[in-house]
Amino acid sequence: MIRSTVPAPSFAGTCPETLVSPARLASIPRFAAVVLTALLVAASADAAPERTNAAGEGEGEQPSSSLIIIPSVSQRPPTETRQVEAVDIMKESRQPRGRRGEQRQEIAAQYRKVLLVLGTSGRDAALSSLFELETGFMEGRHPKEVQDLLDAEVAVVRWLGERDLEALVPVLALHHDAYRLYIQRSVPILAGHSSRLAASLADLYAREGGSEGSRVLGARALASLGIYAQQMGVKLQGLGLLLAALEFDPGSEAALLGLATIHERSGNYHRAAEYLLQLIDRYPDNREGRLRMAVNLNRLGSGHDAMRLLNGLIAEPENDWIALVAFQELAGIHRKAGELELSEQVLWQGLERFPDDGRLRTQLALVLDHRRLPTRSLAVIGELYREAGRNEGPSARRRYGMGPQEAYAKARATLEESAASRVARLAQLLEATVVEAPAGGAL
Amino acid sequence: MSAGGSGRSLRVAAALALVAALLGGMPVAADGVEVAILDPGPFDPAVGVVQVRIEVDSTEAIQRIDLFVDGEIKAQLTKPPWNVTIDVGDENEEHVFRAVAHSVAGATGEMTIQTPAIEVDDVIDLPLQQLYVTVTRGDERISGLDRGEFTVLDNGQRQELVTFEGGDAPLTAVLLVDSSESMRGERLGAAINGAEAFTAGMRDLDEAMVILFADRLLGSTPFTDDPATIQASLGGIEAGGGTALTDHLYAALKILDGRQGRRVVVVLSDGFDVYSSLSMQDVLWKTRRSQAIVYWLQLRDARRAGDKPGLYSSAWRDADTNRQEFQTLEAIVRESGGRIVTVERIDEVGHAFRSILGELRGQYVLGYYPTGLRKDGSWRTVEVDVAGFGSRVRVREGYVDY
Repeated sequence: MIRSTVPAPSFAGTCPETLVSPARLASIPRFAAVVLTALLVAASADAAPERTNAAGEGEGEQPSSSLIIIPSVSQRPPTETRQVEAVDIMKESRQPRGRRGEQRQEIAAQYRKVLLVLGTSGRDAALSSLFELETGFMEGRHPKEVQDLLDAEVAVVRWLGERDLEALVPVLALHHDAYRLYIQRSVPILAGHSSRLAASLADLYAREGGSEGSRVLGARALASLGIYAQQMGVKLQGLGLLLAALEFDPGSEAALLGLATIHERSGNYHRAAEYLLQLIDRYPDNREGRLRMAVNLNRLGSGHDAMRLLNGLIAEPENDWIALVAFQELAGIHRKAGELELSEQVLWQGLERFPDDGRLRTQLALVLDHRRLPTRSLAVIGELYREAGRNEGPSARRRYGMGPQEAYAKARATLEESAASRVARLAQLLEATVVEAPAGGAL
Repeated sequence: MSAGGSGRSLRVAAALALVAALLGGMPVAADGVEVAILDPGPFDPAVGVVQVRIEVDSTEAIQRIDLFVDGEIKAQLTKPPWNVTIDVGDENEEHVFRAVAHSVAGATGEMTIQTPAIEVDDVIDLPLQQLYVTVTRGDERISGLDRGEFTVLDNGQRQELVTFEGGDAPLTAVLLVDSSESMRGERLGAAINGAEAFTAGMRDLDEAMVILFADRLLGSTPFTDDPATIQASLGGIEAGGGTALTDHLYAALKILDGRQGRRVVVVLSDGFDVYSSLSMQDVLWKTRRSQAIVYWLQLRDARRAGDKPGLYSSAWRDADTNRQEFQTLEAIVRESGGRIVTVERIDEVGHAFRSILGELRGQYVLGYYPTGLRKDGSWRTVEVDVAGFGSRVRVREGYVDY
């Protein structure tokens, strides 16, 4: 069982000097310092029984001036604990007797063949064989019997792990793929089984690998599983996996972003901002993190600091979904603050860069209506329908809602590369050791 | 040198051919420099700040493009993309846009388009208030009532009716069809067929526009009275993606500002918004300044199990906010004088569309000049009573005085 107790982001300490020292502040970029200030201000406002409007507080002030409110933040729960439903692979389970024992041996033998296919013929062929084996086993059985499947597969994995831990990495990647496949094909029992086995393998590799590299790789595999679970709406499982990833790699970009996204989707904006603060402190170039921080800061009442981050994003040359959402959000903040001309200006700037975006156009129509310019507004909205269907793919806001795709892809890519470089070891091990393989003569 | 790929060249050529056909050869290509003004188009009114998009196809490098509006030079562009935002002023009038491209070798090409003025029926400038009133008793609509049987109170003051019509007043409708993932496959086809049934039941001078939306606009028809246009415009579009109802409802109300007479929006959706940038409060604000009636065909079978307002959250809104948004949508429908029609199964959509059209046909149209207008942005309540026991009146609940 993986039990992950990960310190939640906090500004631990009791005096300003130990919390955020001037040297530390100097080492982080200006925007991160601003965000830190804003978050602390927002945290203070959130903690106060009578919340006052925190927007604008601290604007133009030096970060140090807000440090006095840090103690109230540090009173927040310092840890976030989640359990990942996983198995201790290296702990041998009791071999059942009779028919069940024979059955387990039979499955183990078939599973070993699947792994041999993985080692010799590649992942697609192995995935297909695994799907056939596992769905065939579960056909007509009670869901609880998935435990027998797990025990049989774990026996093979244990045997492999005892001989060469590196050979488990391709197996981990295989079960990660199986998890996605079962989710896509709506086979929840086996999706849970695959996720559990993949998480257990990642945990084992990270714990027993004995190097920083193995911890990081294990963490990335867990983060990848966690983000995927979150995207599929399995939030609690995703949370557990991501916290476990953070335990092995406290600086995991994917895990921090994934955790922030889960909390954001659950309406825990403060907690989301805390993870995002850690993220952009470590990875100031992470544009998605800065965008999400801005969105959450605005929700927490720090509109001015959100605007600073958003202005930073739109000043950058990238014409991606992040910039587009930044334009939309910035214009929205100005509009809600009654700054209609500024909002209009931002929207026109946005349309220069994203002329096909209907949402900027709709926002602009609203702003122009508020400015009592209905004819202009009508002209703007007319363009929207002239351009219908010109855009392809998800809208930028939907892309935001889909969670950290790039971080997921990066974590996946690391796992893929690592698995590919170790697949020959898996094949060698399986081909060379037929006789001594687990489950006795059946193999 | 070519300023774009072959696809772009084709688009430029097509644009040139279209404009040439429409305007009698206004684009002038000389020495291999071809210019096309892509935005604004020849049918698009240009008012205020306007984005101009130009494409050039040339065998030589382009040194600059001069953009003239109504004979005055407005911009000089020296490098691609050949886009610029200019202000043509707030007057609602025709404009002549002329783009002249100069190559480095001195060759030129140009194109001229003329944009029309907008026909606006703006409620701000019309003191006549028109009320579209549905009268029922039990489940039946009551027809044949006379002017004298209606009493109209505007901000509590009795008003004198200056116009009174039965249900024959022409209508302009926007049929706003949620085409997100849950509508994939035959469901979208059924929804489009329902929209066609609505259009087929319309009378002379009625028009409808069908808009398919998800988290982005998927497709739309022009305002039309021809059901065949709907299939022709929307055939081949596949449902998919999330829902941004709020943004598209605002846009639908806005596009109706440019239409005459009785205006209606019919929304077909489960009402669960995920990706909008505007809030339903923005739409409520707009509804109060519009004369449009909003109907909501609330599609229930598309909902995921357990989805209820207030029980789902997304990256953009928490559960509480979602519940408020849902309630505000209900308020929008009620305040506008429309109603919510529950659609349990997708095959009921056609019937639901037709029932709304039938209701619109049975409406009374009451016109009066409100007394005591102050133009101060205040909310004025409207109440309509009908003589006779047991009659129920549905009408917009008020409007903003501005």
